[in-house]
Amino acid sequence: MKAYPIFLTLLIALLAQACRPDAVVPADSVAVDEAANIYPEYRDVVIPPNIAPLNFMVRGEGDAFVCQLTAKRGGQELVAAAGEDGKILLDTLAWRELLLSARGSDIEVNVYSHRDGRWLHHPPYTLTVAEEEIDPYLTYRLIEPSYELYRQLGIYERNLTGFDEHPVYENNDVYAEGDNHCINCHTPQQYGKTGLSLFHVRGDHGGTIFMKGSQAERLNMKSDSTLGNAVYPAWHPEKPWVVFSSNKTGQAFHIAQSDKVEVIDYGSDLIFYDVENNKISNVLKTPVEMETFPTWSPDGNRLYYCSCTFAPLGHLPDTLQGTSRDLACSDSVIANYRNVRYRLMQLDFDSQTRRFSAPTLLLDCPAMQKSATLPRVSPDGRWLLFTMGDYGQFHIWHHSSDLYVMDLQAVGEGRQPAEAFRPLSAANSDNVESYHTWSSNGRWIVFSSRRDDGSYTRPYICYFDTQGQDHKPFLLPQQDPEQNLLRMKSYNIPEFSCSPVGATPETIRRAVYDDDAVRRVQE
Amino acid sequence: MSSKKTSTPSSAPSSSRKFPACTVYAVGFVLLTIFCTIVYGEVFSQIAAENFVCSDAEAMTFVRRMPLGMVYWAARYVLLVFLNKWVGGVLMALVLTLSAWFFDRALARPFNCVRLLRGIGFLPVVALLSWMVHRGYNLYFRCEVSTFVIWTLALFFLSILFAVAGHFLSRRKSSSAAVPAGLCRLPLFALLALAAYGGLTWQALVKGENVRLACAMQNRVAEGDWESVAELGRSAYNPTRSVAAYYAIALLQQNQLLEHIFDIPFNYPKLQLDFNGGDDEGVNYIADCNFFAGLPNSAYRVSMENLVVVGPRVNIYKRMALCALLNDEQELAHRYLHLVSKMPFQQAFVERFLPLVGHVDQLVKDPVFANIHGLYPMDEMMEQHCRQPVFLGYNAIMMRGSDASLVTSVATAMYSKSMDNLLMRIGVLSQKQSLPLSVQQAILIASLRRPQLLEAYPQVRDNSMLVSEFRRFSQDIAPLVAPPGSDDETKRASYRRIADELRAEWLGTYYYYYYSGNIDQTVSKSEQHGVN
Repeated sequence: MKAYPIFLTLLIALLAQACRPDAVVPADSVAVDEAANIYPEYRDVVIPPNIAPLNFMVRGEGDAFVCQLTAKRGGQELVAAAGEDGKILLDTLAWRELLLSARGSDIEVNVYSHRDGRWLHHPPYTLTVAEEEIDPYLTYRLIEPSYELYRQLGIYERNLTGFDEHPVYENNDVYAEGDNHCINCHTPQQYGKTGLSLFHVRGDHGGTIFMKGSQAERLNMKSDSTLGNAVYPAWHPEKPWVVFSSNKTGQAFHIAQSDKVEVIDYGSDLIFYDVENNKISNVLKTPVEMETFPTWSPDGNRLYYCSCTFAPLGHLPDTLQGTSRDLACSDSVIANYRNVRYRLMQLDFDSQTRRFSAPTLLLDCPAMQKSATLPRVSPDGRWLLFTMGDYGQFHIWHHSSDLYVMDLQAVGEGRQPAEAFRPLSAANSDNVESYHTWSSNGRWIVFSSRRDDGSYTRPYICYFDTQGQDHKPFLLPQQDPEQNLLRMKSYNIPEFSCSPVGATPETIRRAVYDDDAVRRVQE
Repeated sequence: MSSKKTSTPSSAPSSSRKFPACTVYAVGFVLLTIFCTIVYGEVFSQIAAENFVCSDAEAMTFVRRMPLGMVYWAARYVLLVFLNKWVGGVLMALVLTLSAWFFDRALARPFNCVRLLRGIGFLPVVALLSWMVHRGYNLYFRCEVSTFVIWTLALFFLSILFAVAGHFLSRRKSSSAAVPAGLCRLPLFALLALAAYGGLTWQALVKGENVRLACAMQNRVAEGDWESVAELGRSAYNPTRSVAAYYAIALLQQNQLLEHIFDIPFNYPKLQLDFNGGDDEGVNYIADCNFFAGLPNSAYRVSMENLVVVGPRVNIYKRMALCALLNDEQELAHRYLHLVSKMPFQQAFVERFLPLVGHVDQLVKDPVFANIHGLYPMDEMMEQHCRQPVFLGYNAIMMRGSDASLVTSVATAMYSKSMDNLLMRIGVLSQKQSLPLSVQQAILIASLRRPQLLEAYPQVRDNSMLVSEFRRFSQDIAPLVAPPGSDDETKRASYRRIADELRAEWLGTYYYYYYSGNIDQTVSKSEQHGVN
């Protein structure tokens, strides 16, 4: 079934190629002030030396277009042309050679448009090629930016050095009574270096899939002593341990507001899971505190997380139980959603005794009328990256959310945390920025952004230099740049990895569908 | 005088020359054309209006992932011909007629009795069309839109196979007639096919009335022909929710909601809908109702959920583009318009609305969008505070709004028979305009339990014709009402009797609706919303 679309794509590409003008820099052209209207916006970005070609479209007027890329050091050149469709598709081999020669320096990009019988030369821009490579794999979930329902979705792995994208696992293609399930939160341990990873299955065949190399197994993470299912995972960097949040989640839909959805937790705790011994235990279990979004420091000695105090949760009558209680909690939080704010917290951890310290406050975001989520520590342990918005915890639906970074080294040296963080001004936009992860060398950040249209989440990659400065991000490149406009899915939970997922989709499918083989966690 | 004898073992009398063989197929083609255009053409063209197809593999991912996805992709291109019901209908009739001819060829030759069997090929054709009519809404609601095209083409290719098989089979059989010569002279199966066609037409016109009407109404909505939409709605004998919903939308656009909403009966027939992540009829109309009720966020949400469940459909993309336009979400509007532009024959929509991106002020100069904009909520609210569907639930509880939304909220209160809610809103309405007849009738009903009510509405109290009319209604209904203390089933039975026996005289009044409409009315509460 896959051969036909590949064949069709190749055929269309060949036909398109036949319709393109020659890839030759125009001998005569008129310089204009008008900047080339390109999509995606790849102007003046910093890119890894091993990234796939940054193919793009010229959306301005014209019946032909030429793009000339020239390495400032060495003069290596790459020229590509486009017809009326404006799609500049760069030769992969030539692109790689160009990046190799331009590593650590700049590439000048000149775009020419053929309009009204003459060539126009737009102002050049620059691509800066960093010294540091990016992890070669990126996994993410593709799902519509929908509200409640799901149908076709999957977790996919993309090779960042090229355009290959293949499913790690896809759910049922059509509605199937007893087999409908959703999947999420694929997270590898230590950038895939240990071979351990996991993701959740919800709905039919629910549970958590643990993968070790090529093997996969499904576990039932619910237990009597924990709040509910295991949700947001955080692998210990070295040991086969995972801290999860366990959340009770609801949502409400705005009738008139532009932030269309409000996803709330009305209960969340932190739980610790020992993979080898299949044991689960509570880390923090409190009635009025909602703890979520755990993440480890690179040395595994500290756990960061977010916490919100919601006092009304403690005032509900004891007679309310079960579903009624859940509804009451949910309604209570929804009614006060603008006042629900999370702070950044930390726990020290002794890996010998497996004990956590008492929680300590890291950043009092509610005091600033802000709410923090998704803390992530850089691999060198110096920087804490997090998302902050005006309220709430599901910031992908909040236009106010942006990326921030805290200098943990400065905090350790005595600076107040409130003075040690700043926004990623170059990376942020007027729209939503959220879920983010560091590359294994700490020089690249991938994050979810809705800057394109406010609705469809796309992964953006930005360079974070050794001085702690972020740079303008670029959209994940595609072989056909128009694909970004036609793909009707959002990218969720982008995670870097140094190696591909070991288990095949078939192995994972067997683990998902085999209800008899599910193991239950022990307390 | 001499004559040449020319005879074959089963030669027909000279009268057969008056009716050449092609007559059957010509008549069949004409009748099929009538069916595929006039009788059921609106259904086929509405399905085509829902279709989404383009050459881009990424945009067609949902379809490609389905079993037989590539077949669906190709069939969706064929479905394009039905964007014009005449073109599509004639082509479909041609294909079906050819199918019949091939089937005839397959059977007539082996049995060497052409005249008798001529026309038998129309029986499977009529059977296929009958199946399509029987499927009703299930032909497109939550299933692949190209289904009927695929089955039509499948029948065509099957008929060719039969013809080829029949050709080889006829070579082996003896040439002697297997059927009595007298019987051979009768065009029996042609007549049988004609009778079947009559049954098919009856099935489509009577059993399939609501499907035809709903599709025709949706086609007229796309054209902005509100008058036709309303007329079609009024012609329904027992309208479904889809028909009632589009009827209400048309009245809303014509500013005649309170005047004519109760001109149709509101006892929805039970539908046998396929279950595909749900089996409610709302997938067809709720998004549009939310949209025209001035709730673009809710319309967008329902559209998105429909997109997830049924896959890409151009009418969904169009609605989402319009929601984004109204919300001034410019890049989002561009996205959906770009998708629509990838599909053949959709440029007119794109050309109309692309220049309006970022110009909401221009957009609301259009009367349709002006009406929608005039219904926008004034207060922030969550859908969870409303009962579903939102276009009713919101109007049932909203306390602040424009004059236009006051009308919709009054209509909602009347529809849900919430008298206290209704009276509160009527009090405000009476200060802004003269009360429509249906509202005055509601006041009279409410006054039965609130005798002092009429003092507040002298225009009703002193309307002697209205009062006597209500008295007459009360006399007509009295013998049909279940006695006090009756169980639910007895009450329901009495409501049905009222609905049947008083329909001719009282349909069109609020009295009739209040006492016999929406017997099985259930308004679902807002459920706990999970996260996917």
